[in-house]
Order: sequence, then structure tokens, then C-alpha cells
Amino acid sequence: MSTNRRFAALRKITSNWLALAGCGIILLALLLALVPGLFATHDPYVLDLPNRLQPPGSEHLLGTDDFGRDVYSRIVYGAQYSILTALLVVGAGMGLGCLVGLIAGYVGGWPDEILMRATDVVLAFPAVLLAMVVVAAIGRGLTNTVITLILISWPEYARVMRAQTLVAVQQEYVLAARAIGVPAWQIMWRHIVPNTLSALIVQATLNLGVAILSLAALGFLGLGAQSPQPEWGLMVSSGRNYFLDAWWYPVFPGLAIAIVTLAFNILGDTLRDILDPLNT
Amino acid sequence: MSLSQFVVRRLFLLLFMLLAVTALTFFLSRVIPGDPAQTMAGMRASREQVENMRVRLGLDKPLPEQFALYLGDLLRGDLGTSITNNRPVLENLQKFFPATIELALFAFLIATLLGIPLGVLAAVHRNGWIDHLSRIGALAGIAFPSFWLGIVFILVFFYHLGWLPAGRRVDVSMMVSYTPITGLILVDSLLTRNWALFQNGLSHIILPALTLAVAPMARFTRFTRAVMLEELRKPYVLTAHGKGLSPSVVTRRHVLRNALIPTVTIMGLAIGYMLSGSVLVETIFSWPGVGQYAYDAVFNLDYPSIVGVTMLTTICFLLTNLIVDILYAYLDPRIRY
Repeated sequence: MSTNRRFAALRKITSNWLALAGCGIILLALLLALVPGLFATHDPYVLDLPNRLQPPGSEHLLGTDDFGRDVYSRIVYGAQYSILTALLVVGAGMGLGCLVGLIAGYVGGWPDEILMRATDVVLAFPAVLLAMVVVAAIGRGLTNTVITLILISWPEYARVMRAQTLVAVQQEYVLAARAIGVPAWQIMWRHIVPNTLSALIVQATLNLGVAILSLAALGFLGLGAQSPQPEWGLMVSSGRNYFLDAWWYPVFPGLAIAIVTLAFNILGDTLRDILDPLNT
Repeated sequence: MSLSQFVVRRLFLLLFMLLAVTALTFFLSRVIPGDPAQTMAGMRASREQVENMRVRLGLDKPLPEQFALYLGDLLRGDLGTSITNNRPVLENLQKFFPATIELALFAFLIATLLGIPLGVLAAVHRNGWIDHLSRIGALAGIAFPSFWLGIVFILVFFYHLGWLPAGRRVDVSMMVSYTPITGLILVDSLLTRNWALFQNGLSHIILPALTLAVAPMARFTRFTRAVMLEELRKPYVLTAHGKGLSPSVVTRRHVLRNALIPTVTIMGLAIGYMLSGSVLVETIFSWPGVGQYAYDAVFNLDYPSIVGVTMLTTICFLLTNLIVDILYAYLDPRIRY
């Protein structure tokens, strides 16, 4: 992508208020994830049983949970579990997938066949079920959830990368690079990867939303983060038992999930309009 | 390649995929921590009893041999015995699957009937208020977690407004009058003209189905809009307008028909998604389907059930994909395999 196009992309984002709002929310969420202490009003772990299930008010902005912990502060501290882990899932999944796709597309032949059949098998599994089975096999917990989601997410990128690589290897500049004896890995890294970047960025941004939802879903099912971690999905799940008396307990963490996911979706949608005009 | 050759080839591929999926699930389920023999024999069983159970379950044999035995059983239609309730897994699946199908089909109906017209309207009134509204609605629809939507729906429509029940397929008292034919309560009650049961079943299914339908509906809307816009740009639309056809006829008879062809693909994918993605919705609404069965199985380390459910959902997933591909070829005569 040339500097000119990059500048145009930036201008298009800033001229679109919806995309701008999305970016603002993502920046804020990142801040919450990195320095939660700046925003939290209470300690997210300290129990305060006399004040359990208090409604939202001046002392507790979004009320308290069944242990008297401040829901707002727990949401603030929970941002790292949702956003940073989602970034990790998407980053690692994309890295793995790109590597597989590059090799499959560039080398061709039987490695291509084997790698692509492997992606087919993973894609044939219904994602939620596969995640449940893998987490059950390697044990519950946030780390295992992240590993599972990486294992599930790579095939999508592998497919995109392979398709792009197959097109790229036919281009004259790649043939020319080959002819003058540039090593294969350098051709892949310097010539093929940069040209597939825009399609991958769009995919990755949209998948950040998916990753946040999947992490929350596994947390909700009790397979991901474990109590007392203030993970948003887990908070909705524990709040579910009290929702008739304390609606704020499950509702606000769920809203946090939705708002951040929405922000990533809006950004991804806008980026697609800009970077990938054929595929709108 | 003719269509029949294509179907045969795809069926072979399906068999291969099934084998791979079975192998993967089987080996994954074997590394699950915990001891199934101990669970089956009971917590107070002696060491000898546990060993006997291990031999009976074939767990003392090496893994590849266990897998060969499992495949043999599978071909005879024996999926093993559930560790949770001691019943054959096949019987459990037969019992729970109709509920999941009914929920998924109903959700699919909602998503299609609302999502596609909304997409068409958004495309026809491009950049109008309906387009913007549908865009925000669709983006939000994909962003809200289904488990959270379910809880909010229960809170609003059951608890505060008291309009709809939340949980189970019908009231327990209604089950007495139910005679299963297909296993789908709504269909069966229509067939037997049991209106009270139909009404009761309908009121129970609305909230879970709506929860399950929100995300696919959002996707249908966005996708239909995109395809419609692409079709509207084509020269034949100009010709149709030039012939003096009214705009609504052009939209309905020409543009929509062509736009629906690619939409079929994502509709098929959505059915597969709903059949497998109902785990969350089923646990929230205590819907006695395969999703809840899978959830219980995972928590009870009930590996025969886990493998069984995974097999079943994967077959559905692969079959819907196959049907979509065939339907696609049928709808669009230009596509030849």
C-alpha cells in the first residue's frame, strides 16, 4: 500500500463519524486493558459482602455483584482478558495461517495437498463444538481457551493467503525475482506478503470481534477464564443466577462485550470499503 | 463433469472428511483428563471393579486398536454407551436431536423472513435512512453475544412483561397430550390438530429462536444488500427499465431472483451454524437438545457422547454444504462442475 493510499484511508476513516466512533472505542478499550488502575474506582477482587447486589448509584457506578465487588471496576479490569487475549488469538492465528497458506501456495504439489486437506478438516468442524472438545481435552482456563481458539482460527487465513499467493507467483515481478536468484523465503516475505496485507488486515479486524465473542462464550460456558478473574463472559454467566434481582450484574458486562465487538466490526467494515473495494 | 459425477465425488470427499473428523475427535476425547472407567464404575468401586470396567470398555487396549474397534462399532450403528446416563449414545441423540432441529429451523425461518426483505429494502433505498438503520442494526446484531441477548429477552419478555415463557419446549402439563410423530412438537401438534399444544409450543420457541436468529439475520441483511447492489448495477436492469417495466417489477422479478442465488450459499452455512451454535442458547433456555447434551457431556467427561454429538453435527454441517452446492448448480444454469 502506497503512502498516498494510506493517507486516503486515514482521511476516509476520519471523515466517517461511525468509523471514528469505532476507533475511539477501541482506543479507550486498549487504555482500559493496559492501565486499568487509572479508570477503576474499586479493587476488582476485594469482597464486601454487606454491600452485595447493590444497584447502580453514586458509590458503585454500575452496582455490585454477589460478593459485593464493584461491577464497573471489574469490567475495567476485564478489558485485558477480552481485548489483549483477542489480539493474541487473532495475531497468532493469522501468523500460523499465513505461514501455512504461503507454503501451500508457493511450494504447491503434495505439501499443498496435505496442508489444504488439514484446513478442510478443521473447517468441517462446527467451531463452538470443536472449541468445547479441545478445551475439555486440554483442561479449562484462559490459556487453554486461547490455544484452542488459535488452533481453530488459522485455516481461514491459510485459505486467503494461499489464494493470494497463487495469484502473486504468476506475476512478472515474482518471476523476475526468481530469475535473478532471490531466495524463496525472501520472495515470500518481501514481495508476496506485502501485497496480501490489505486483504488480511480486513479479515483480521473483523475476526477480532469474533475472537472477543468466542472468548466470552467459552467463559460463559465455564470453560475459559475461571473465577475470580473478571472476564466479561464469566461475569455474565455468574450474573445470570441473580438477574431477576440484580439485572445490572449480567447486563453491563454483556454490553461491554457488545460495544467493543461492534467497534471492531465497524472498523473492519470501513477498512473493507477502503482497502478492498471489489469486495464490498 | 456432470452434476451426478460431482455429487458422487463430493460424497466420497464427505466420507473422507467424516473419517478424519472421527479420528480427530476420538483422539482428542482420549486425552481428556479424568478416568472414564472410574466414573462408570462409581466413586466407591474397588480397584478390581474399576479394572473390570476398564476391560469392559476396551480402555486397556492400545489407542489405535481402540480406534479400530470404535470404527467397527460405528459401522454397526453402535456409538457406545453414555457415561452420564448409561443409555446408548444413539438413543440419546435420537431423543435430543429433534428439539435442536426444530429450534434451528424456526430460527432460520425468522432470520430469512426478516433478514432478506430488509437487505432488499436497504439496497433499493441505498444511503436512505432505512439503509443506515439496517447497517447499524446488522452490525449490532453480529456484535451482541447470543447468551447475553437470551438473558435480556428473558428479563424483558418473561419477567417484566410476562408475554412469553422462558425455558423448555412446552409446559410440563402439556406433555401428556403429546404424541410424537416427527419429534418436532410444532409439526406434530399441527398434524394431530392439537391446537392447545401448538400454541404452547409456539410461545416457548419464540424467545430461544429469536436469540439464535439475530446473528444470522444480520448476516442475511448485509449479504443480500451487497448482492442486490451488485445486480442493480448490471446492464439488464437498465434494459428492463427501458422497456417501461415498473421499478417494483424490475426489483422483484429480475434483480431479486438473481441476487438470491449467491444468498443461498450463506443461508446454507447459517443452518449449519445454527445446528451447532445452539449450545449457548440451549443452555440458557433449558432447551432439551443436542447442544445441552454436548454441554453436559463435556462437563461429565462423557467421551462416547462427545464423539457422538460431534459426529452428528459434523455430518449435518457437511451435508448442508453439499446440498447448498447442488442447489446452487440447480439455480444457476451457468454453473457446471
